[in-house]
Amino acid sequence: MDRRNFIKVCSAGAAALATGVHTQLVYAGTVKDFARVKLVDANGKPLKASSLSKDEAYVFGYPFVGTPSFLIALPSAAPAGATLKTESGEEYSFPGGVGSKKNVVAYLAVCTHQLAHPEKKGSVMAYIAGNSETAGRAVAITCCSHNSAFDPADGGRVVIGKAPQPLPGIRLEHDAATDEIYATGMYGADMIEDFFKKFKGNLNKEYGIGKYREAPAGTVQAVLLSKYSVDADRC
Amino acid sequence: MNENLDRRNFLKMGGAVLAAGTAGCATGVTGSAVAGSGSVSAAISTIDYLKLPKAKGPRLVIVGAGTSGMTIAAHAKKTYPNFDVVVVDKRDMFASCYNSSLWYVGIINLEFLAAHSFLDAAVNNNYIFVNAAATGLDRAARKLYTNNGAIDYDFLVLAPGISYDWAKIGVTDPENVYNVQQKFPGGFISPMEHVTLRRKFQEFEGGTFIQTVPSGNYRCLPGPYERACLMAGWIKKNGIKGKVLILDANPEVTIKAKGFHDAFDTLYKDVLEWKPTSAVTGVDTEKKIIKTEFDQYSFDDASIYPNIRASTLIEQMGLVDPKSLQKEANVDVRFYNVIGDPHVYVTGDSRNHPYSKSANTSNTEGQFVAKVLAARAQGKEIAWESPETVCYSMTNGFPPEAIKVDAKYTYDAAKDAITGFSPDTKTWETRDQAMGRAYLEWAQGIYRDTFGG
Repeated sequence: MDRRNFIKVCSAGAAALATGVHTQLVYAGTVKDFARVKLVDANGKPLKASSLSKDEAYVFGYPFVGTPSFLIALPSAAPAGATLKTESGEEYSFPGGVGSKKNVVAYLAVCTHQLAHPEKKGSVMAYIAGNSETAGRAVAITCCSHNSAFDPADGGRVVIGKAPQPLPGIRLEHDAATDEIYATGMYGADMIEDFFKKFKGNLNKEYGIGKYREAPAGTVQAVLLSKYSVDADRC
Repeated sequence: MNENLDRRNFLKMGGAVLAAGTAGCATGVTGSAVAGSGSVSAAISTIDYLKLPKAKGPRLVIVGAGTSGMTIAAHAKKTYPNFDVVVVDKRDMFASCYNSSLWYVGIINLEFLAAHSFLDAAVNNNYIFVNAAATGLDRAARKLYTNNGAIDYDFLVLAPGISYDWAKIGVTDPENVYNVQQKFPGGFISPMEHVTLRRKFQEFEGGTFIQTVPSGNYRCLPGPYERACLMAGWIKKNGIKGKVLILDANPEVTIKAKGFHDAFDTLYKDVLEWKPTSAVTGVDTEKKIIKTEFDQYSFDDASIYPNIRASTLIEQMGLVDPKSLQKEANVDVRFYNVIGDPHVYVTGDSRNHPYSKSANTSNTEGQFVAKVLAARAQGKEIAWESPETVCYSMTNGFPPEAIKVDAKYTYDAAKDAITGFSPDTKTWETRDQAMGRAYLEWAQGIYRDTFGG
């Protein structure tokens, strides 16, 4: 990232901090702004960062209706700063968790290996708070299809498997006054077009022709993976 | 090879190795074989070069559009965009061998296996798909012969898969060979075998269905056991008065033994019998009898899986490793080039490695080989990476429940050999429905990787 962009990102963050709103700062040219939407539950009630389940991930359609992302409340703070690299060599830094405990993170729930993702009929992707056999550790996002695992506390870095790059991150914003969470953009690998290209047929069937490309507006529902998918494979 | 390297320098670079390794190497079943022996067949001599667009970079020709060849084709150009990639296959329609047994009992439909177009793959990955059969190879001239004409290559990958070796199960007379393969197909090579086997499943009305398991490093180690489980489940579900008999040449189930035994014992106790150390030594297709060393077994229907060997194309091209019991190609253990020839590679199930001959192995291996080729096209070398064998088996079809193994391999530099599975190999042998669903996604991921963009 050049100096100008760095300053731009920092100033935006500084301005936000001054008003009590914490936006994740991403030091990279890989950031893409998307519509700012509030995360709400199935009843439309805003989710609160401090009362999220720590046992499993929430699934929400962001940055597009047809692109599932994971919202995760980690057991402890996820500090910012780690440098990550996309498959094509672009470097960016992990902006860290948001919320009063700095433990809330979000990622595109699409495996960077062969694009598996949560579907209504089932999911091979899951956040495992306890021990993951594939990852050989606790606190991991696993894709059981071909056994890749990612570290949600470290920017979605690949822990094991053939996945060639970290999970793209969803940039979050936390309002300290209300404890509400907003999604505002994406950072890391840009996989959306590839994902759409490979799943176009299925997505058209599931959401209606071309609807999967629509951006959520105002609010987006985030529901527990166990409610979103019939069953999730854990490995 | 440096991308700016001209052809003369390129030849110079490879010349020393080629001189040692490829003298008199023009071999093949048609064009090159007769050219090498000095007599040219009139029919072949009328075929010149296949008309292809002018190569825009080092030409990488890949023979075989199975998992191995398709993976390399998809990844080579992504890794090194200068490559000019041409894929050659005699088939014009793909049908997946992996997951095919699931179709027999209706877990998936034919579209799942076959709605994958070579045309789309070529467009999505910027290469040319040539519907032709490879017939010969002239390594000195770096020329591949096909039934539609010759193609010059800078790099050639041969990924032609496997052929059956009937002699190893005592089936040698050609009449017997054709009777066995047409009436009781093994079902591990061609789509037509699957069509026949599915029909057999659907039409089975009772008696004994025999599934044989060969010795050696056969394709898809759990495949015959999985198929036996699915047939046993089909018998149970439909109340058929019959049973499955597995005649296994091996002393133990060859992979995921715990998970398979659990299914044999808990799901199929009355409808499946497994007989270890029962290698087939002959088949009487008229009387429907399979012979083993000490016994013989009558059957009503069967899938007879003979031993396998590398595709006969490898032998026709003079690339067989004399030490290989399965006539596999003599290639570098880590980088897959034919020994002494940095321009020709053999990958997938024709390789002479002890790797599992399975889709995920070929897919992960192919991704690595694409990197090897991209590096070498730029005069570089890369470090060896193990392929990975993630492999599911549906031990229950009703409802679909699977088990899984995840294995990598260990390379011993002192021996320059692959010495076995790596210590971090994991198995999941308690079947469940989540793995049953993951199994389907596993296959679709590989289809996306090989056919998608």
